[in-house]
Formats: sequence, structure tokens, C-alpha cells
Amino acid sequence: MHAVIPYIVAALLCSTGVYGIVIRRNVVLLLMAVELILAAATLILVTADAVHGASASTGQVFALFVIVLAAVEIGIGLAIALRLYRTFGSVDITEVDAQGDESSGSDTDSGPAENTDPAASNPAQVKL
Amino acid sequence: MIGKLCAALLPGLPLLAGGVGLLLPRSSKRAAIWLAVSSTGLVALLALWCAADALGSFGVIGVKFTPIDLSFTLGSFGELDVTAVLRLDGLSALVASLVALVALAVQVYSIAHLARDERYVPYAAQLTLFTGAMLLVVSSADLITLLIGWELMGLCSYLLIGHDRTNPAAPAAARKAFVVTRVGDIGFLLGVVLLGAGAGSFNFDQLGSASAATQTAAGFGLLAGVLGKSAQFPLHTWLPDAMAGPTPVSALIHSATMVAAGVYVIARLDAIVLSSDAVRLTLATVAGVSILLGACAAATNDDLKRVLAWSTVSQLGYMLAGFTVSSPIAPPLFHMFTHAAFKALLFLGAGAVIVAVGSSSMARMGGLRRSMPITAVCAAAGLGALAGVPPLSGFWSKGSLLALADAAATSDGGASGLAGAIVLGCGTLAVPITAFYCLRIWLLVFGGSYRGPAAPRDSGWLTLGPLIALTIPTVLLGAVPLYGQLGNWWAAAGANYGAGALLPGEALTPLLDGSLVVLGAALAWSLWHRNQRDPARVFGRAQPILADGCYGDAMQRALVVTPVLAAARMARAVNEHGVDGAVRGVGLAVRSAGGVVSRGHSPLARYVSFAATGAVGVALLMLLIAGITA
Amino acid sequence: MSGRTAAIANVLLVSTLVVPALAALVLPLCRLVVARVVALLACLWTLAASGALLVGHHPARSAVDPWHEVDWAWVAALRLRFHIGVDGISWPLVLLTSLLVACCVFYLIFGVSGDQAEAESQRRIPLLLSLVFALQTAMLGVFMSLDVVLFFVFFELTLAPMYAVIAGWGGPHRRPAAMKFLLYTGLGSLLLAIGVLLLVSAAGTADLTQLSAPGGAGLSHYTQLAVFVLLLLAFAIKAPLWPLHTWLPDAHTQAPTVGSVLLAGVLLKLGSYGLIRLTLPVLPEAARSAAWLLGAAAVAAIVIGALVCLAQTELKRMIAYSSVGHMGFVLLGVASAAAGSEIGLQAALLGNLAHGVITSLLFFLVGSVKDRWGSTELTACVGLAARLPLLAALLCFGAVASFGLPSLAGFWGEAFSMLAAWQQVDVWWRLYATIAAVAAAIVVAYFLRALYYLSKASDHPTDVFPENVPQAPSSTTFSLKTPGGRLAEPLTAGELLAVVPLVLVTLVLGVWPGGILSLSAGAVAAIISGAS
Repeated sequence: MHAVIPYIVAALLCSTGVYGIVIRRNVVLLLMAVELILAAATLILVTADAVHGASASTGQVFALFVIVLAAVEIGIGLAIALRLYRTFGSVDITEVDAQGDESSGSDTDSGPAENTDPAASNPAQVKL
Repeated sequence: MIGKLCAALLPGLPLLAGGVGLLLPRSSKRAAIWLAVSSTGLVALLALWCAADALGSFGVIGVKFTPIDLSFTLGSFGELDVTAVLRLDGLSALVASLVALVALAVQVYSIAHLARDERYVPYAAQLTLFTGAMLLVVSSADLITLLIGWELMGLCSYLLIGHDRTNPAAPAAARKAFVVTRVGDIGFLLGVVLLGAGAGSFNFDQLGSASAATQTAAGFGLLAGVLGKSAQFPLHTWLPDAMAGPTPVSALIHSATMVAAGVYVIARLDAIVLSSDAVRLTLATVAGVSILLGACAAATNDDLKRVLAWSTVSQLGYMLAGFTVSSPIAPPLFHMFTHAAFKALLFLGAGAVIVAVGSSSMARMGGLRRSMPITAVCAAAGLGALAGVPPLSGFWSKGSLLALADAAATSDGGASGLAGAIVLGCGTLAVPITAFYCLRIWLLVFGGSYRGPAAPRDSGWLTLGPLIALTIPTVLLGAVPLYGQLGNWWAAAGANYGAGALLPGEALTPLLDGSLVVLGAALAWSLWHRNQRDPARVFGRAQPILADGCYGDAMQRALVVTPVLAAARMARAVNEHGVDGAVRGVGLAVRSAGGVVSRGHSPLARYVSFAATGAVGVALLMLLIAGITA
Repeated sequence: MSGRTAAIANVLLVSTLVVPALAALVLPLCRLVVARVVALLACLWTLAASGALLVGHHPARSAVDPWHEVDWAWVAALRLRFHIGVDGISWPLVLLTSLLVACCVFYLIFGVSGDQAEAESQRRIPLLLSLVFALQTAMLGVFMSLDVVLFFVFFELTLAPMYAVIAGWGGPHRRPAAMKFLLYTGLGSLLLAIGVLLLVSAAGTADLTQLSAPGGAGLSHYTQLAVFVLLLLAFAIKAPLWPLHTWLPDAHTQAPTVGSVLLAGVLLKLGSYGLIRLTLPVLPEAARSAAWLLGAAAVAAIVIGALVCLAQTELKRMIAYSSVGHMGFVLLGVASAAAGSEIGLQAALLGNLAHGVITSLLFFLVGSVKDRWGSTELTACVGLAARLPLLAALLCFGAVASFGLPSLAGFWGEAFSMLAAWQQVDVWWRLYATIAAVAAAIVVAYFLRALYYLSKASDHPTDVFPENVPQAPSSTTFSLKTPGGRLAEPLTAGELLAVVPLVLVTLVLGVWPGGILSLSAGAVAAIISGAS
């Protein structure tokens, strides 16, 4: 049988998710949009399993995988969002971007993800 | 077995010694001297022994000699096998002895010349490495080994020209030398590729099976490489600047060996390279232009080494032109031998003079015949040979070339006749100019009275020894065709390589040559002897133009360098703003798309429109895929 | 081979993947001293195991005829089997990867001085080592995988550690460079995923041995074309092929030394290896019809790469662009192979290997320059040869090897891909060969330009690009600004250990390419004959 409606619904969900990623500036809403994409993937997996049914219900097993992975990803994502809020005072990704991107050598992030090469962090030398 | 060992050791020993020498620390000067001189000496002995064996096959010494072939497979690309073949036959043994002997003389000379140089150790190693590379070229019998030695020589030349770091002109001169010869080597590489693809093998013996069109195209390619390495027009501009290197380097590389490698390659591959008339005519024209250009520039320059460099350009033109007028290869090779002897002699003498006087400008020299008598005598012999004064060696070698050109111009038809006419015309015209500048050099440097500040003295034995050693062949090599057993051997050798007239056959040509020599010398003397001013003033306002090589550098810059640099700038701009701009544009488009869409009407409408677009897109994609895979 | 030898071989084979993975997991938890020991043991074991895999090699009888293989079921639903093995085409790349990782480990372990200012960065060396080993697992996995889906999995796995290396240890503009790298090559991975999915569903199997059977996978013409386009785009982004190369210069310039080495030495090879393994034998018709396009793009890469290098002012960026030119030669060989030339394929394989060794050597040396002088701008490196003669000599060697001096490794790939192109009796291919030869001269020009700056003794402003006339102070005052006075410090043990093996390999490969050529000859012949 043809399963058009579930695929179209999945496409709608996916597009909404992509739209959300493109337009949302709040980290938490961004993560919600990612969830929508994962939901779309889950829907496709289950539909494909029902329509083309493999013997071991592999589609549904993969859907379970996706759900677990989504849960893990949300956990870590929210932890990062909390950390972001504590360091920058806002969860607006555009504000974080401006500080971290074109680094002139003086990052405010004091974490281990820092380049401690003394020669490169001195702007006067780099200009040579 | 011994033969194969010799064939392997001849290039292998100096290459190995050079490699080891490069690893020596800077402070071990003694070890470096020992390594360089002993390895070059051993190779010279080996080469002489092999040459003596070769002589033996012609009945002088009673030992039978057969050419030795040594080959090992480097790898096979599909059906194309790459085998390195070394061949030691009469020709390669003789040229190898020449190379090794000049190299030995230069190594010994360098000990004194670079006594106070702190970078002697890498210098000696590079010189040894160069000797190995040249010997590799000489003993190779397949195109890949030839190419390896060829390029390695170019690299050593680059390193050695740039040796003196305190000379601001040296790094630029080294770069120019390598780049200009590399431009010629574009053609050389293409020629090798064409021949390999066309003949199915790189072995010299099998190259003849390539089609005629392939041979012609490859001939042009190989010719380009030869023109570059042998500093002929239009790839000659690097040689005068290369004089920024140490003088022994100029003596070895830029007069006797590397620039002569092109001559040797044409000698070996003349059946392929000169198989077509187009190549023959091109070479004759180019060589003829170089003969005249070099002679005029040598007559007008003030820097002693530059004069000798331009003179080398001119003499190499003679050699290369000689190949176009007939198929025997003995006469140009004979000129290569004599030229190696007297030019190396002249460069080493120039080095001694420059060190003694402290400058290389001839305006600051003069009267050195009193303070440096031995050098003056040796230089006189060398200059006489260069000018073609009988009975010195240069007279015989140049004379036989002109005689052959005369014969070709008068008796052969078609391309060979035309080539002969060009060669005869340019060559004869250059004879008085050559005599002019030879006498000019001797008069300005050794004649008259001293014009400079320092107090010159004659050099030590480490310097004079090689000079005297080189004077002997300069004077006596001309005798080779004439006397007794050696003459028989030379005639037989010439017969093996198809030589016709080796001696100046008809009486007209040597008489004409001799009178032209006297004419040129007389002109120089008459302009000089009254008040000892530079005879070059006879060229008047053309003097600086001729000295500069008739705008050679400027033309090269305008025709090649500037366009390539402009192309480079354009490529960088296109790359960074065009191609990368497109990539960055995608990212910007995605971001601004969000902005554009969010400025729409109600939120619900925005959601719906975006989602619907996405759904339609996915549906189309699915249909497409289904259609393709159906 | 007897059962026991086969078992040992299988253990070695799997251990080359497992040992670095374990090291990657363990290292972040270690202190520097323990980390040094663990890293040393892991990289030496992998190097030895990779070398030992040569034992038992036999001439290939088909396009994919592994000497040792391991084939375990994994995820049947995705047709993903853990099927790995080495044969004549992949073994040299496996050895190259292990060698380069070993060199990087030596560089990191022994090259760091005990300076107080370095103590801060020393805390992060174990983390960097861990990422290097994670990269090694992924890269070895790509070369050894004989299952197309597994190939994709490992291909994708290389992205994340590389991103972390660039973003965490890179230069001042590392974040945008790392982002660009990730997104651009990630796009390539996405295309690869779709292509692999199409291929596997159309062919019914993911086993590379079966897919590479003579005649290819037997897909219909349009399917073949679609899969080929997707795979070509993916590998062209990775290789990189002009014009899909713009992620490369920033990534290379901003990456730390070991990052650049692994990026240039191995990651670029993933692209060309993918083309050789996945597209030529599996999709022969499509490859043949697209050969001319690939050849044109390759020649464009060679020429434009060379011209852009000539206009560069910074050493590291110049070497990065030189990679574009080199891979252009490799892809020219692949294009000739697609048109049916065995010589082309052999030249591509050899050129691949040579580029990996030589460019890594250059990046190590440039890293040493940057450590001491703080900058790799050409105008700032004036007078290097006088202060650091050994380093300058090695740079000269690297440059000379890179522009293809005969008797060094780079020559064979360049010359014979030109020959393979010429052998296609077609005026376009001959034009390609001629243009490539001309571009080879431009390559010499830009390397000599760089060496010119190094060997100049004073700020003599005679560069061909007048806008590069230095405004900066001369090198004598520069030394006052460099921290720790390391201006003329001789090469450390780590740097020497990293560089000397590469120099030796360049020499050996240059004088005796036959060893590597004979290993892959059988497979190459099978690929070409199977495709025609």
C-alpha cells in the first residue's frame, strides 16, 4: 500500500523543524526544533517498517534508538544551555556567536577550550 | 662484473660522497676536504681507466673493450616498465673523464679559494653531488635516469649559485637560474613523456620505434630543455647573473659541465632530436643568434666574469650549431672538450685575479702581468684558444665546425643547406668579435699599468696548480687529430660516430678564419695601445644595450614574468572572492533567509508556507529518486 | 595460510582499530607522564601491526582481493557488516596513516620543552593525543573497510575529532575555520550517505568485493550516473578538487601542526581513495563518461592552485594551496584511469602516497618555524637560513620534493599522470598534459620564491610582488619580541623524530617506486580490465 500521508506529515514536521533552527535565537527553542526533526525521522522509520515490513521490525527498533538518542541529546543540550546562561547571562545564540567567532585573541571564555600559545595570542606579533 | 661495478661506481661514488658530505657538521672542514677531493680523485682515476680501455679498443693499448650496460628496474606502471640503464662506452667514458678531471681541478682550487668561508662543508658536498649528477647524465642510457641526473644538476647549480649569503645578488640569481632552466625543462619533461608513451619504453635503443610525428614533437621538447640548460637564446638570461656564485662553481658548472650537458644529450639522441628539419632549422637559428648575441655582449661588458659568461653562451652556440650542419657528432664534441679546458682555465684564472685585486671590474685591473706572471701566461693560452689562434686547441675545433658548415651550405640542399648557411654566416661573423674581446680581456687585465687600489700578488700553488694543469690540454688538445697513434684513434673514433672531415679540410676556411682573428685582434690593439682606454668604446652608444644582452631581461620580464604574476593575482582574487564568496554566500543566504521569512505576515502563515514548501520539495525529491531507480 | 597464522593476522588487523580507540578513551584521564607512555605504546603497536600486515601479501586476482580480512555480521538491517581487510591498494595508505600518527605522537611527546609558559598547554596534550588516536581509528577504518556502509561510518567519524582539534588548538581564527571545515565536509558526507544508500539499495549488497566484480555493480545507466554524481561530489569536496576546495586553506592555516599534518597527510587521501575504490570499479560506465570532466577539473586545480600559491604571502597557506595542486595531479591520474589507463591509476596511487609524506614533512617544518619565530609570513622569515641552517636545509628538501624533483617521491606521480593523460589519443587529454607540465614550472617558481625569502640575508626589497615590500622591522629587532628567546634554538628531539622518517621515506620512494607499484599492480589491472 502507499503511505503518502505519513510521509507528507513527516516532511511538514521536518520543514517546521528546519524553519525553527533557521529562525530561532533562543537555545531552548532551537533544541525543540531539533526534536521536531527527530520526530519526523521517527515517523518515517515507523511508516517504512509498517509498509515494507522487514522480518525483525527493524524500523520500529530504530525508532526506539532514535527516541533514546533524542533524550540523551536533549539532556546534554540543556546542560550546555544552562552553562551558556551562567557564562554569558543570556540564551540568545546570536550574542554568543559575536564574541566567540572572530577571536582577536581575547576570549572571555576561561574554560579549557582555549588556545594558550603565547606567541599567537599577542596581536602585535600576529600583524607581522 | 668489474665493468658493471665501474659503471655503477662512476655516478654512484660521488653521489654517495655528496650525500654523506651533506650530513657532516659545519666544523669538520678537514673531513669534508678529504671526502670531496678523494672521491672526485677516485672517480677521475676510474673514468681515465675506462677511457683508456676505450682507447684500447682502437688499438693503442692492447686491451679489448666492450660497452658495459648496467640496468635495474625501478618499477612498472601497468605495461610500461621503468628501467634505469647505465651505459659505459667510448663516448661516455671520454666525457666522464673530462667531467671528473675538471671537477678535480675545481675541488683543489676551491680549498684555497674558500679557505675563509665558514660554509665550505656544504659547498664541497654540493659540488661532489653535482659531479655525481653530471656523471649520471653522461652514463645514462635511458630517459628517466637522464632526467634524474639532469634535474639534480639543476638543483645543485641552484644551491651553489646561492652559496654566498652575504652577496645580495646571489639568492635572486640562483632563483632566476632555476626558474629559467625549469621553463626549458617543461619541454624536456614533455619530450620524455612523449617518447616514453610513443615508444613504449624509455631506453635509448628503443626510442626509434616512436612515430615520426612523436619524434618531431619530442625533439622540440628536448630542444627546449637543452636551450635552457645550455643558456641559448631565448633562455640565456640566467647565465650572466649566475656569476654571482663562487668562481670555482662558475668554472665547473657554468662553463665545462652543466651547460655542456645539453650538448651531450643532443649528441646521444641526435637521431631522435634532429630527425626533423624543423627542429634542425630552429636549432640553427637559435644557436646562430646566441653566437652573435654572446659575442657582442662579451665585447662590451666590464665585469670580468660576465664577459666570460657571455662568451660561454656564444661558444655553446657554436657547439649546438655544429650538430645541425651534418650528422657526424665528433666535431661539436671536440669543441666541447676544448671549450671545457680553456673556459675552466679562464674562469679559475679570473677567480685568482678577482681575489688578488678585490674586484671583478676590469676597469680596476691592469698591469697584472708583472705581479701575476704565471696567471698571465695561462690566461693568454686560454684566451688564445678561445679566439682561435693556431696552433692552440680552439683553432682546430672551431675551424672544423666552420668547415663543416661551409660544406653543408655549399653542397647540401634544403634545410641542411639553409642551416649550414645560417651557421656559417653567424659563426664567421663572430670570429673577429671573439678575437676582439679576447685581446681586450688580456689587455685590460694584464696589460698596461695597474688602475686599482690594492696590491695584487700571484696566488698560491693550490690555485696555480689547477691553472697549469688545465693549460696543458688547452694548448695540446688540438694536436689530437694530427699525431700518430692518437690521430689514428681519433680518426677511428670519428669514423665510429660517422665523422667526415675532422680537420679543417679545405685551405680556404682556415685562412679566412685566421685573417678574421688577426683583424679582430688588430682592432682591439689599435683602440687600446695609445692611451689604454677600453676598446669597447668602438661600439659607441650601443655599448650598454649590447652589454645588457639587447634587452633580454626586460623582454623576459614583459613577456613571461609580468603576465604570470598578473594571472596569479587574478587567480587569487577569483579564488577568494569568487569561489569562496559563493560558499560564504550560502551561509549568509541561509541566515538572511531566516530574516526575510520572519518579516512575513502572521506567524501561522509563515509556518504554514515554509512547511508546505518543504513538504513539496521532499515529495518531488522522492518522485525523482523513485523515477531514477525504477 | 594456516589457521593459526590467519588468526594472528586477524588479531593484528582488528587491533589496528581497537588499540587507538582504547588509547583515545583512556588518554583524557591520564596525567602527562602516563599519557606519554600510553600514547607511545599505542602508536608503536599500531605502526608495527600495520607493517606486519604486509606479510602474506599476494598478487591480486581481482579488483578487491584482500591479503587479510575479517568479516563479522553487525547490523543486518542496514546491510552493515564489520568487514575490514588490507590489499595492495589500501595497505600503503594504512602504513602511511600509522606512520604519520606516530610522527605526530613523537612531535607532541618529545617536542614540548619544559618551559614554564608551556606548562599551561601541557595539561591539554593528553586531550590532543586522545583526539589524534580517535582520528587514527577513523582513518584506518576508512582505508580498511570492505563494506560500503562501514566505509561511510568511518568517513563520517573523521569529522568530529578533526573539528575539535582545529577549534581547540588552532590559530587566532580557528572557530570560523573549523566551522567551515565541518559544514563543508559534512555536506560531502551527506551526499556520500545518500549515494551509498542509493547504491546499496539498488545493488542489493554492501560488500565491496562483490560490488567491484568485473562489470561493476550492474546498476542501470541512470542509477549509476546518479550515484556517481553524488559520490563524486562528496569525494571531490574531500580530495579537494577545485572549485570545491575553499574549506582547505583556512582549515590548514588555522589548525595546529599535528592537525595540519593529519589533515593534509591522510584526510585528503580519503577523497581520492574513495574515488579509486568506490567509483572506478563499482560504477565503470559512469566513470568513463565523466572522465573528461574530472580531467578538466583536475587540470584547473593544478593550474589555479599553482597560480594562487604564487600570490601567497604566508608559508602555511602556501603549502595548503600546494595540496590542491598535488591532489590535482592525483585526480588527473584517476581521470585517466576512468578513461581506461592503468598507468594513470598507478600514478595516482603513488602520487597519493608521495603527497601524504611530503606535505606532512613540510607542515612539521613550518610548525617548527612558527614555534620559534612566532609567524610564518614570508616577509618575517627573512634570514631563517642563516639562523637555523638545518631547518632551512630540510625546508629546501621538502620544497624540492614537493615540486617533483626526479629521484624524490613526488616525481613519479606527476610525470606519469601526465604520461597517462597524453596516452589518451585525444586532443583534449593532450592539452591537459601540456597544461599540467606548464603548471609544474609555476610550482617550482612559487617554492623558489619562498626559499628566496628564507635565504635572503637582509631586507632587500626586490620581491616580484611590490606590495609585499616589508613594512615590518628587520629580523634582528624581531628577536626581541619572540618569547623565551627561542629564535635560533636547534631542532628538538621530537621534531627530528617526526621529520627524519618522512625524509627517508621520500628518498626511498623516489628511487625505488617499484615496491609499492608491484603491490598494487594486480588490483589495478583488474580494475581497469573490469571496467572496459
